[in-house]
Amino acid sequence: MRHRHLLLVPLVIALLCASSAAHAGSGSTSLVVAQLYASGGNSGATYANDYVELFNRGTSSVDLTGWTVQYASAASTSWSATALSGTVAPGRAYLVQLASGGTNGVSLPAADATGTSNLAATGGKVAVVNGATPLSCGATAGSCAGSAGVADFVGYGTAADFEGADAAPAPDATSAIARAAGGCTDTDSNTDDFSTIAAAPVNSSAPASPCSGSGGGSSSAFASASVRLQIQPVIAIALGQPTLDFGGLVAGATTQPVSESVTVTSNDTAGYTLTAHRSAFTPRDLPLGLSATAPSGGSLGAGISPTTLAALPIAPAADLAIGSTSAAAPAAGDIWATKIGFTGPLPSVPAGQYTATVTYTVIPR
Amino acid sequence: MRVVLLVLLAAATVAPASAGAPRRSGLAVWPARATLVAGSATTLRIANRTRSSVSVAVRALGLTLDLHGSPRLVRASAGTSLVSVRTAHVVVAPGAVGSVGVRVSAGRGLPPGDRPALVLLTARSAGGAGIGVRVRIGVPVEVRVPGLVRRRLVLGALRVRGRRLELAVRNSGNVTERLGRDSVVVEVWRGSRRLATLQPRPRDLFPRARGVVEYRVPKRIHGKARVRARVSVPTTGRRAFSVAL
Repeated sequence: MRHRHLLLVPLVIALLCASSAAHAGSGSTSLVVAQLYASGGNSGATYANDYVELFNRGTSSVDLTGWTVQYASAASTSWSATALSGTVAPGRAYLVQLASGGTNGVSLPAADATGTSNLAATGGKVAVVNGATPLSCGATAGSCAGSAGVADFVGYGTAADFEGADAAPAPDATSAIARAAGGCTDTDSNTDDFSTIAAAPVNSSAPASPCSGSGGGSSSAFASASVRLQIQPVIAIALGQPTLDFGGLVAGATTQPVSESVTVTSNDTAGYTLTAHRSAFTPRDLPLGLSATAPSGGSLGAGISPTTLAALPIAPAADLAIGSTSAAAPAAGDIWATKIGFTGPLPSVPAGQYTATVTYTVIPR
Repeated sequence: MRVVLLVLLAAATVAPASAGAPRRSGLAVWPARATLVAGSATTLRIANRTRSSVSVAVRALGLTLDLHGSPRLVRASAGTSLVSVRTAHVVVAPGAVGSVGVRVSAGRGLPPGDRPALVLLTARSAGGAGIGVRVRIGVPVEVRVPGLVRRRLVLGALRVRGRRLELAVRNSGNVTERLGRDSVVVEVWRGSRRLATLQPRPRDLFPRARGVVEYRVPKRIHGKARVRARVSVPTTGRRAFSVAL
């Protein structure tokens, strides 16, 4: 009898940023801070590291050679710089991973740049700078406004300097502050442009989401909302039966293989690889093999066929590659119909009870 | 005189955990992969949807990718020595979710970049006589040492294998690259006409590693053509090849 496991896919975080697009496209520069999170690793933190997510709200790519993301605490004029590299295409994000304040929270998506700035949760200043020289401003409101190379500036919480009339709100352990309209709104007013959302960073691999009317400063007559979700990658493997029974056999006999269905469930779009090996029979080894049929979308490994048993290697030899996929599995899982049997007539061996273990291994690609 | 010996492969009858519910072996784990900054930690969750307790052994091992991107377990890889698991053994009750802490050491003095490792979770065999069957799940762990990120993919040769193209790529950066639709773009051209943009089989490529990215050629394309390959993330690089499909 075959059971199917119903997997609860853990939905980690849902939500977010809904805002009017009435001011979309206003503002001055194309590369802006889209999201900022300052409680990485702290108690109750969603993520293990602070981060700054940049976003290209313009219509042409930005070459980041020589650019930095800089940070200073709320009233400080001492800035730490994180070097950037690569390019950011229009509508694309760029994730800068920063320091961790502890061991709490999950890992960020793969960062596009990594630095050691430790953002204060209560207040601080972040600048996107076309240049590597640390800033020396920030003690008073507006003091950084004329600094050379500053493409975007965000003061949050108790920051002494900010764009516009007041600072953006402070993020907390589970919330980031995010620029409105998915990063498209830039009115040079931190308090108006930013609001708190459930932290949900993306990196340069995320699909492009260009701003309508970028750089044109025009307003639109409709409102838009963006929703972000982060679903954990899950992988599961289940067997049809925990032991295989060939019954009583005699030397020289040929036996029918025994079926073992292996169900793999994975929401990883890169797929997975399924392999197998076995232990040697005791008290004396017997020639065990495996055949398999791939599920829809799966491909069998070299040397594996649905009809012919391939010898199962004995650990620590490398596993037999049963097959692989390159897409997420359907909800019910991929069912690999395998058969395990003896690759030839049973040799003459002493009577007794022969035992071994077959091991199936699944690893995300 | 030839002696025929009786071989008994014991019928391994395993008592059902409950009436009508055969005991099964099964694991569900999340996250299925993790990227951990040196000095940080995370928790792996293990769900047991069977009707009996599952005993899971946990240990850190190594991970490599073969030329085509399929993961291979090895005793150790660059990140293995930095990864430790909080417990080597966890028992998860039926219907419950267990957890395993995974920690990455600070890696002080190490150059920045990604280092692959793997946490292997093994559900112990149900026991009894006969051929036992057990399952394992490998959770790839990318150990990331902070510092300057260098991303650079270098295109190599293109091979035609039947209806499949194999493009060699080298990662000369210091972080793992996921090679997908947006990072390595391959187009088939004839004259000034683009016949197709091919979809790759996504794969990872570790720092300082070489591999091939596979593209399936649509059946409608035959004959001589020009294949243009370009890397679009994060730096640009391109090559063109004349092929017969």
